[in-house]
Amino acid sequence: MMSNEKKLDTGKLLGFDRDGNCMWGEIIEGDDKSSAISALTGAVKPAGAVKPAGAVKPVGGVKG
Amino acid sequence: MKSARGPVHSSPQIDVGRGIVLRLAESLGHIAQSGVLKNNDLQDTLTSLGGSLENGARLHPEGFACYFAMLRALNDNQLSAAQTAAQAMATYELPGKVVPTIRPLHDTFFLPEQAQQMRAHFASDSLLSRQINPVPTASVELFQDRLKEALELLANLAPYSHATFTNITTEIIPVIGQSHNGMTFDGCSSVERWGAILINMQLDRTALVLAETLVHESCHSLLFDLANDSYLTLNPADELYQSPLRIDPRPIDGIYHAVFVLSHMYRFLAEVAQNPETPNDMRQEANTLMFTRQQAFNDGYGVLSDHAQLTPAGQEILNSARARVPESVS
Repeated sequence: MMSNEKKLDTGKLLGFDRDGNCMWGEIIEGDDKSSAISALTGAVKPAGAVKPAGAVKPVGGVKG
Repeated sequence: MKSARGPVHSSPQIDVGRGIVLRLAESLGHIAQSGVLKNNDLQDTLTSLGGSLENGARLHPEGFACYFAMLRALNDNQLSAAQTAAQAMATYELPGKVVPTIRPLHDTFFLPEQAQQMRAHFASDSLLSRQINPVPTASVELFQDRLKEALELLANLAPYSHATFTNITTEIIPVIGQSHNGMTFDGCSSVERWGAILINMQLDRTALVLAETLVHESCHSLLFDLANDSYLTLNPADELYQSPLRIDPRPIDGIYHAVFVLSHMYRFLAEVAQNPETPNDMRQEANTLMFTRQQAFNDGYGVLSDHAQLTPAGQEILNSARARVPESVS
């Protein structure tokens, strides 16, 4: 997991569950910084369309 | 148009927004004790910050950004960068009670590098960094005034929703949103800047809908707070279903977020609709919107009922969302 795996318990870091599984995207292991940690919620809709306010883009979460 | 009515609001939870802060405090203590920063003063700084957070302090969204920057740097064996991020994080401690600030994306409020970092935090597959544009100088004051009006509406006509909102949100960032492939965005929230709301002021909204958009975005952060150490759903990310809020198919996690957020949008509108101080035209608008949100909630709830693999925590939170929104239209 982390380079510092001998010293840090990922289960105690924000973004991981208690077992150390990454909850909100590839937080530490990912090589794509733009998606790292990004449990983003982005509201998307067709321009000009009448849709409810906002919407969601949470991560599909990388589990385990 | 039928109006949707029903039991909608209960007292706001006092500990709203504390779960993620306490988890962060625990994490800071662990990092300090591990010695990975190789600097005793810094480790003391993190320990002290963690203690403050445990005792009721909060962290500015920039502080959350520093935290994750520190983790990335540690992962990449960039000790100096990790130390810099740790030092910076400690400067973003906030008192327990803060009034959300309005910080337009404009060079008066953001240094160029800050603006670049902020964009990166909010950017995703469905929101490109270049879609997040600065507010023109001529519009800064206007947008601030509109947002202040929306916040006053929230405080005066929907006190329960306002209490939840202010326990979560510390910063509102108005921007000009640019369409991409025919799609635009209302707002955005990110764990990387927890407590911040990005809002596209290019869209024309009534004060009620602007306030509702703020509630919407803050409740994504609320769900991150509630799920700070456990999954809520276990479905694979590549399983896609129809979303009640977006036109593109979404994973169950996304549907779950939408349903949760819709329940709070409904509660906010119901508060406004039922408040005797609400002007009649706004009450009518709230009733109309409530009906729409109720239908969207029921659509999303149906998808979850049929397909979601919920954890116990996920089931409990979903039950609380269901309780906010009446099932049938009266």
